[in-house]
Amino acid sequence: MATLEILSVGVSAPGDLATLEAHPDFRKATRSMILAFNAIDRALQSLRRSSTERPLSLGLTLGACFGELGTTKDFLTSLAERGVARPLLFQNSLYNSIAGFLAIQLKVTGPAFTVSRELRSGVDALELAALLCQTKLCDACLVASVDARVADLDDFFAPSVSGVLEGAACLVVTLPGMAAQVGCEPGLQLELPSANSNGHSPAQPWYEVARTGELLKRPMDNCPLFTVANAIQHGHASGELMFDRTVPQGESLRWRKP
Amino acid sequence: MSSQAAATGGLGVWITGTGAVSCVGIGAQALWQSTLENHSGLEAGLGRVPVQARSSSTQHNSPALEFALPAAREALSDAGWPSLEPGDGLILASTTGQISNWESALIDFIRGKRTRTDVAPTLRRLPLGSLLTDLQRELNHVGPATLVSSSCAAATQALGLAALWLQSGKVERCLVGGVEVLCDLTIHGFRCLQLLASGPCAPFSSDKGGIQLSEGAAFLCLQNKRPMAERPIRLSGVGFSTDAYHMTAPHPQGEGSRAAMAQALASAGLQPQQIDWVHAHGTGSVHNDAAEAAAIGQLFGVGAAAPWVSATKPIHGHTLGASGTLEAVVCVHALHHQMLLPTFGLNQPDPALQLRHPTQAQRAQLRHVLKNTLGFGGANAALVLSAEEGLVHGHA
Repeated sequence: MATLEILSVGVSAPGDLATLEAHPDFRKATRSMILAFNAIDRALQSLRRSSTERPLSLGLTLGACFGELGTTKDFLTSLAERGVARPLLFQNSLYNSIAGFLAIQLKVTGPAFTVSRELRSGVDALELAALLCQTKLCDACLVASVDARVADLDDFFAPSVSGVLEGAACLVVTLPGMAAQVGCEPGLQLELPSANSNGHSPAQPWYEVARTGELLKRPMDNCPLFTVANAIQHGHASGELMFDRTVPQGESLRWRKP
Repeated sequence: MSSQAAATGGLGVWITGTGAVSCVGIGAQALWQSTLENHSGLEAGLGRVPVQARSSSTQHNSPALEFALPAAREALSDAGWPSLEPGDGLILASTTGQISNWESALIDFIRGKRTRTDVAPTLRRLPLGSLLTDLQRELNHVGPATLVSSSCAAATQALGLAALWLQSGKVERCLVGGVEVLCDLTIHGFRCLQLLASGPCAPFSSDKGGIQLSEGAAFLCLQNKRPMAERPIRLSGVGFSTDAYHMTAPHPQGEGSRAAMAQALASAGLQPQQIDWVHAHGTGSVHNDAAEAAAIGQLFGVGAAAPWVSATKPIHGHTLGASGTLEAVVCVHALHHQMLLPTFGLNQPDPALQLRHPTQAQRAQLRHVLKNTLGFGGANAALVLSAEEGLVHGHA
């Protein structure tokens, strides 16, 4: 089981878009790009770090279930209806375009990966971040998970689900015990699921383990990182998300004080 | 990682099997023979997988799966793995997954031409990860898995990630593959960026024509334990970096690509002069070729002491997210046969690039080959593939 130390967190919700979309830096950006950037920016702003330390060597791992589906839809619609292929829509349609945008905005030159595995995408990004830190390819890693709504498809994917359908979350993580070495204050520990698949479908939703032990089904937000980051922001020093409610000791994502 | 690697001669990851489905035919051997004998599978600017390559065993009617399954099964058979065990890893790379299944259905649904019920089975494949789920189901795989989608660097990143999984003990064996299917999005997208070739693809040429898109799948079996096979090929170094420069163009001086290659050398415990051949990304686009050549020049120098540099995309085309594994398969076979490949169609090398181009397929002492990749979003990845001393001198 891999364990990480959370140095800071940030979340971004659709309500943030109204002001951010007008910013010149985001003129060519998609909703996913803006949401993800905002979540990371907030995490970095809350990263309390000694200014005398050397610069952090940062990696970036991004998990997205649908990637830039909305932009892909816009590109294909323009092509089908007007016979026009629009370059900006194409370059923004790739899953990796979000990570590319983030790397440019944040000047990340270390390893940057985009991973996608349905509702496990964010956790795959966390597991990858742990590996990048363990192999010293970076001191710390920006782990982001993002998905944005595609208005025409809301009815198709979530006709009866209320709650968060889009958003982004970021966890800045490093290896346990490394916080002081990278000039940061110690944070909460995050235990990753013990296994990666166990044969269960990554399309299954996540369940939040309530204080009573009850399993609360998460809304289809595709983003367990959102739950973790949001809970930590609201002062919850511990919590657990479970991937498979049929296995009591199944895969879970746990955060707590060390 | 680099200091430890230097002490042990790089990563101890062994390549035990290869499999491929490409526009030049079915099987890794077909791919190798075509790159060796200058038989291009590109027609009218595109490389399409022959119809007979489609797998008959899949019930999915999914081109991506139809390419991936035979390539994966060939790699497993080549490695002598009867099946994937619960502890085995599976890493897949793709930029568009099963989009060829759903792109027209999606637009029809949005425009009201087809009903929800009608398109529901097709749109189930919208998430990129559904391809991995479907492949796992077909291969009865229940172990660690993930899908990497870092543009054209995806499959090279996937191989590098597999090496990290193996070195960290997460898995003992790992099947790694890349899959890409030609679709409207990529064909029209690259065309509108004015990156497609109007004539033959000629990387590093004075008269570069641009990219020729292609499709296919390629898989490799990787393991920690040295295989019984005589003189196996080793994945000895990996490197990753990001340009942080532009969404679709590489850094003009190739800074990110140079950093990824330097990191791969360090993780292999090698000096630049120990690389015999750089199998370049070599797409044939003006910006890619200039940036990659600059990166190679900065790291390896120029002149007779520099390694050979060539690209094989004029034969199999650019398979985007699958290119890393497809071209790694070519490199593995080249190392096995100790054959250096040229860039076919390179009649007028661009003198400004100052690369050392082999002019024909030729026997050579290949100990270490560097596979380089660049992708949109500034994603860079590089691998070092190494042959054992005995294999090199056995062919000398």
